[in-house]
Amino acid sequence: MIGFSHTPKATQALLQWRSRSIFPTEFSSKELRSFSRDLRLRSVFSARMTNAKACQSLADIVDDLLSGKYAMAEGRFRLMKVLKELGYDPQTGFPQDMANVPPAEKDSLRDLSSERRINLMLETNERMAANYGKLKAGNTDYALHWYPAWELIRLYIREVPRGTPESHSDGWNKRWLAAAEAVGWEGVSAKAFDHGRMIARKDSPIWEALGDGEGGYADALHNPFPPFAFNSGMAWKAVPRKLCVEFSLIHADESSLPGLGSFDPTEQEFESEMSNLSPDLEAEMRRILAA
Amino acid sequence: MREIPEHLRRERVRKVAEAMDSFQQSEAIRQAAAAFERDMQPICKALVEALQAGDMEALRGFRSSLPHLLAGVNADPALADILSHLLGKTLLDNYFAEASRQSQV
Repeated sequence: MIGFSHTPKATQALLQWRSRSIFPTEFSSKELRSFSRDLRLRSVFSARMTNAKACQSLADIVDDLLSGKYAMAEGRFRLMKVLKELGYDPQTGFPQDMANVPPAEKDSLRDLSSERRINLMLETNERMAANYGKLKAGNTDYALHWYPAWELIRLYIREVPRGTPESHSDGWNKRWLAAAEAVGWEGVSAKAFDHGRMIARKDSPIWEALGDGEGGYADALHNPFPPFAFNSGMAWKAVPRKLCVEFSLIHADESSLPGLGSFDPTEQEFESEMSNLSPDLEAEMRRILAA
Repeated sequence: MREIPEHLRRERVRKVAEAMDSFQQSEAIRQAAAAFERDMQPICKALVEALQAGDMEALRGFRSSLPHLLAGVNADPALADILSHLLGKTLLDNYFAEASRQSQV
């Protein structure tokens, strides 16, 4: 279990939500507190790891410099470039041999690299938040009755989608097949798959299996909701009851059970992030994030 | 209900994807980048001092102080507040969008 020193607190969005008079579902105050806590844990974890990765990139350059991999001038040049990416203003004083790093313009967006650095982190987190919201909305009694299954569809267009020859990776059909076989097709429609569609009940273990990268996929994000892998453009679409009956996923008089999901960083995600840090930074991060 | 023609469906998907791309360039991203910069300022300052000292010993000192500096930065990262607000908004927006879509049976 990952522990944090911050006391979970309500975000502005949650406070606004609480102030609304009509809700489409009946969330208890306990559930609202749980949302707020999950959001806070995820945000603090992601922010701290982003800072740790930036420190790691600085440490790597200094280590290479001290071990003689770079000459002093080149190492210092690389360090100054990272400094500039981190928002350091060179006009307040670069060492003289760094004069060839172009000065930043006043009030301009000087840190394009750091912006790119956090962009992927932000996009992944944001899509996870979006689908966590979708998962919660899709597990009310009403939604489970009328939309008992999810379909995995491509929502975001990618220049090189998984499965194309240029990507040198397996496509989502193959990943779906591997995950379905791993869970014995429990709650997964083979009939739909024969029609080229990836549809499974909301309570099917296939969603956990996809999130865990069943079939040996190391880029999985370990969540039972999309995105199931880094930079994936696949998303969920709720499948109407009538279609679920047609695809033999549900009997006409049956309802599906809620799927589970948490927005907390998972243990595997935690370990995978830690493995990219050098031993001293990893030890410090473990201390900071310790239970 | 009438089926949406395939070309219109694709067009709608493309527009959603474009809207997401444009969001990534939005003020929220800039705010997160600025918070990240603010978080990293103590580390930048220590590195500049080491570079200005101009010897390997100073850099060695900087390297060994990195875990300690990181602990200070990560005690209360500004980026966490930005992320918390952004993720909370995204979660609720999608919660209500999905709930509203599913209620239109």
